[in-house]
Amino acid sequence: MTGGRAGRQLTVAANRLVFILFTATFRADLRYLGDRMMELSFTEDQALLRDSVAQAFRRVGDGEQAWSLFAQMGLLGQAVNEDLGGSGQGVLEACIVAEQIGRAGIVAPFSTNAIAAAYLLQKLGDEQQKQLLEKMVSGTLRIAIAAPSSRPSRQVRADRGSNGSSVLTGEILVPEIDDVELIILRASTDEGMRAFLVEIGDLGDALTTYTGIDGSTEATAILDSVKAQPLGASQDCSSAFETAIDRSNMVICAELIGLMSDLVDRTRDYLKTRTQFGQPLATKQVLRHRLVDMAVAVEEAQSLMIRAALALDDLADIDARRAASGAVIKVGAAALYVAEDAVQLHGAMGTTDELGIGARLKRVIAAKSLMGGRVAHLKRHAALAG
Amino acid sequence: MDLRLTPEEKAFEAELKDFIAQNLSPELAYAQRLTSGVYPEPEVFRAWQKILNERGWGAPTWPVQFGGTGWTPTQRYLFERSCAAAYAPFQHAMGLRLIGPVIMEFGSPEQQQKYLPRILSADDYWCQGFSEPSAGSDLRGLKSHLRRDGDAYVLNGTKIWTTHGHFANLMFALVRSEHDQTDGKKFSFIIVEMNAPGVTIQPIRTMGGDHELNQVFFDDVVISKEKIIGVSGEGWAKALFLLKNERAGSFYSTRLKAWFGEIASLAAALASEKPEDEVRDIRDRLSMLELDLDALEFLEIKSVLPLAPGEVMSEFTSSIIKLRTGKCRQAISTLWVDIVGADVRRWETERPLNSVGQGLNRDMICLAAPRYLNDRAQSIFGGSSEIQHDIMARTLLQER
Repeated sequence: MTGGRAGRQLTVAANRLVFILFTATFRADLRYLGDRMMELSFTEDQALLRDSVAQAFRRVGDGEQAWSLFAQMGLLGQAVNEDLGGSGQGVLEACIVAEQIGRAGIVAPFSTNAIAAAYLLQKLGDEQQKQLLEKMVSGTLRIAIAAPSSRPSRQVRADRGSNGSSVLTGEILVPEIDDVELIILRASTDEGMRAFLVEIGDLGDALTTYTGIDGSTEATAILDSVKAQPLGASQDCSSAFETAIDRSNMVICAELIGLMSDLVDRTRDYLKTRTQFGQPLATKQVLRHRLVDMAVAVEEAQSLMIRAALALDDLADIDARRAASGAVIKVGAAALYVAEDAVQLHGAMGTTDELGIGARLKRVIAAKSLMGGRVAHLKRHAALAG
Repeated sequence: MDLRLTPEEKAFEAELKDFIAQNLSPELAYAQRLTSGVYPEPEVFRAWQKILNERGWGAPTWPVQFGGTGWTPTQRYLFERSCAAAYAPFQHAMGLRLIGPVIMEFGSPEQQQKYLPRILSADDYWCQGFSEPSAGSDLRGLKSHLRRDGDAYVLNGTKIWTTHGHFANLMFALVRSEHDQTDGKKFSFIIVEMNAPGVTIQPIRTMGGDHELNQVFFDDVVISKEKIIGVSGEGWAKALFLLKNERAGSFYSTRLKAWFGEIASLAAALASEKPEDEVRDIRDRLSMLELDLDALEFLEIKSVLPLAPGEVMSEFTSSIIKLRTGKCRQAISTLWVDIVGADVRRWETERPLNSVGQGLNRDMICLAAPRYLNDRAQSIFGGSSEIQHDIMARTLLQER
């Protein structure tokens, strides 16, 4: 059988390639852009942050190791105010970190946990609940955010239980639930939308977990009078959730931009080393131009992400919500395009598990769907037109 | 990075808008608005340039010693944005952006005194003589040549795709001059008087219905020594300098955003006549286009703002902006045609279009097809999209 032999050859070739890529990552900061345009947009502190996380993330193996590193480096408290144990930085700083997370190919619940959950606790929580942030920052407590059910009839509703506490009924979907102890969710009440905290232990058998396409763990749960704690005083949580999601989405966008830059670098290295017809692939104009188009897509996506992050930090005279939806649309499309072309330009090697291009493509699919549908964002972008 | 305008910058922008409101006549703005080609008619540009020059704002990108404004990059951006939003005539790039900087860098003091003030005042109108029938993307293939004749030179050959060559009184040109240098330096950068004996201009009609382009023929045209910029035989460096400078400090996205606003308004005005799903399709395409423009604007801002006076952006950056500018301009007119619908078939033969004038919506409908057709050239002139890709690939693949 020739299949076995061909398979072995493929593995040998892949190993050689992995070695090449491995050594490539150690050629310090070989960015694909000759002139490093981004340098110009960052302050010295921001550039320092980027360089230090980039260096640290190179050594990271799995998600677990990454999380303790995030905690050690104080990254889980980036968006948390200083009086609550964080460093009180902006969305842009979180995006700088997320870009390097994507570049290193780390899959971790940074956006949902350290950004969205932290924002909601800080914005809505009472004094006691805000104390949870300290544990979050140190990496010992993880909080997930539940997405509302896509079926309106199964939306979560909160009622008063027998002892005056709140009980929830409905259906939820919880992405990135690995090692999570608490879930933040929205529920309709007689006084409008309210935010609640649910302890994972109180869900019991209602929780069904499964492995996600990107290796993370997700869960669905059908809630039948599940005990919950209102988050903070009685107030409508809609706008807080809207902002939390925009922030979290920008961090996911930044992660995708790092992931795309890494794919451009890998593809460049592959084109330079792979020989066909007696010449490196990098001599073929068709392939050179496709590589350029990938890099251009990254540049454009990055521009929209930074612009939206600045707006969310109140550092630009534009509508942050509109800019955020716009970035989601373009970054998501760019990421899919770049990842698909990275597979294509790596040829058959690109389709293997070993090379890791596929793992990035899977993360792109997951991240895109986490950010919400294109049509909804297009509609919001148009509705918010000045 | 902080994209917010400071109070001083806001005050400056208010001053600009005030000046434009008081000095830009509706006729000039209208003529710019209905320009179907790359540049408005020379008299439109000239009238506005004289107004700007009197105010001391004739050449915002030039160094102060030559008549520049001394503005910061942000101030220049605000100037471009204010002008674009009001449809102030586009400042003719041939003099201000292309030959001006070359004369400042390589010209003799006499050439600087002679030509620079007349660029500022728009008394001279320049055209560019680079492309030839045998030299498009590959400029080294050009054949027009200088022959030495005593104290002067004689020029023979032809230049093609000469934008507004039929309006210009001066041309800057890159030509061969093998006799002056033997070590591979074979080109000279020269100035040609368009009304000199031996210069013939032939129009080239383009598919958009406009006469913008020409072929220019040289038959024993006498070129005096004073018409050579720098050293004869060392013209290639000047051509490279010019190409590098071409987009330094330009904020073309401001113009594109004004046109985008135009087609968005037109789409809104025509929405009631269209089926609902078509309205939705146009709405989504407008959103996607606006995002492309936002990205381009941010690219321009972040690459121009940090530049020191006289510094130009890298080749990679310049190429990406050129590439995306052309694509965005084409995307605007493509969507424009779709918004116009069946009316695109009504072909207007009269040019310029502002001489027709039938009310704003009809004008914008009338402009769609010529603009769409003319915009095809956006990805061909000034270094085609494919050449820009080649340039970027060299940087990307770390080949230099």
